[in-house]
Amino acid sequence: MKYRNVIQCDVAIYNPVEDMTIDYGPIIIIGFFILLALIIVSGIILYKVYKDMDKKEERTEFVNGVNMNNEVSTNISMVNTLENKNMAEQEREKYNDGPVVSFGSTDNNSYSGTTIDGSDNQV
Amino acid sequence: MKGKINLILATTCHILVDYLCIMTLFNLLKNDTPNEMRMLYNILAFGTQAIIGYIVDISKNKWIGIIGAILVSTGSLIYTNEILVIFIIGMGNAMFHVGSSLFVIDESDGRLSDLGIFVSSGAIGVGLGTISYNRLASIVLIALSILWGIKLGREKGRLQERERELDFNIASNNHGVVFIAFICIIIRALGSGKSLCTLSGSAWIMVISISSCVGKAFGGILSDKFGARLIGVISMIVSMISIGYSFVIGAVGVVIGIIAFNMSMPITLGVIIDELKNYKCFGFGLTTFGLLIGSMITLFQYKLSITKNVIEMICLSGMALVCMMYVVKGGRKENEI
Repeated sequence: MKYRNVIQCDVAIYNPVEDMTIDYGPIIIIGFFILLALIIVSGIILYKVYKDMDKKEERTEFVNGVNMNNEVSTNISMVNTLENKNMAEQEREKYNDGPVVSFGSTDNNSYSGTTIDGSDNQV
Repeated sequence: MKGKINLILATTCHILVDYLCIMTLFNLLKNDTPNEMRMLYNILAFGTQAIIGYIVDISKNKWIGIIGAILVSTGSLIYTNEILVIFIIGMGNAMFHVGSSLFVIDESDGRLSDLGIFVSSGAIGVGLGTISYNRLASIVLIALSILWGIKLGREKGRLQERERELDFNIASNNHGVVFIAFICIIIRALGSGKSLCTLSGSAWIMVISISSCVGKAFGGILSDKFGARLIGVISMIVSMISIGYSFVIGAVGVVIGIIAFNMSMPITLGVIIDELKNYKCFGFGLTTFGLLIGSMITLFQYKLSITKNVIEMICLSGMALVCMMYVVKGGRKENEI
């Protein structure tokens, strides 16, 4: 039997043009079952790879989401702080007495418990 | 040049590995050995690369390629048991291809030319292995493997630093790109086993091997320069025309056809790697698995005349052209514009 190289794929291949006596013996059939098994295994791996890639994408999106939320909450707390300062100033002007404590915000990130003159009188 | 040492070593070793495998196969099995042994070799060498590639992608083991090369060298020096030798060279071949692809792809920086140069060298090894016999190549391969090993040993920890997401930027956004690219590879493998003219003999085998090598290498280089889609489409059209005209212009048409037919190889490889991103070695293994499936199908093909082979080859080139148009978007050159 004669064999020749294949044009492109580096696979040692039987050339049916040169010889018609192809032996379709049991080992050839077993070979095709092995091939089938390899196809299934490769398919499973490909599925796993895609699943893993999807997970990574989701994780990236989640991380971005958290970052955005943090930015939003920081902005909200800054707004609260400014609002509280304004309210405190208005109250001081109204009653014209010493440091005023603001109770305006329930946001933990805001500075609503601090006096407007900067002292650390926490409520 | 400094950054390309791994590519040069991998390409040189690739020639030697394929040479030793085919040489051993031809000399060990002789003419009376069953067909199944070659099938066993093909399954081990080309069917297991996807699985080994996945393991390499996860473990990032940089020694797999060198172990594979040493296994091939050892296997080619043993002449005791056919199945043992086939097992050693088959697994060695698979490990070498996947292991060295890790460096070649990582250092390619998204260039298809590097992939083309690496894969093209195998055709020369196969051609030489078919027509010649020299066991000295085993010693040379062992020496090169040791050199490569020393080099990698000095680069301790570089693999993780180098690890990054490559962007070939050639895979289209269509659904099932990997599957269609895989089908394209099978189609190409179906066409690759065909006799397209009456010429034969050692000289013709080397002409085919060199044409194949030139096609793969230039496929990558030209894709980087003019865009993968453009080169993929033009190469398939040229292949169809030149093979069709081979009745008129003879062997020259066949040679041009083979060169053009092989130019799409680094492109499909790049598409699959581009699509699978961090699983590049698995992607590389999938391409060789496609070649194996195509070559196995040819086992059951009926004997056809050269005329029918040529017609079939033109049809296959046309099918590959459609696949290429589906899976490849414009190459980096086109995107830059």
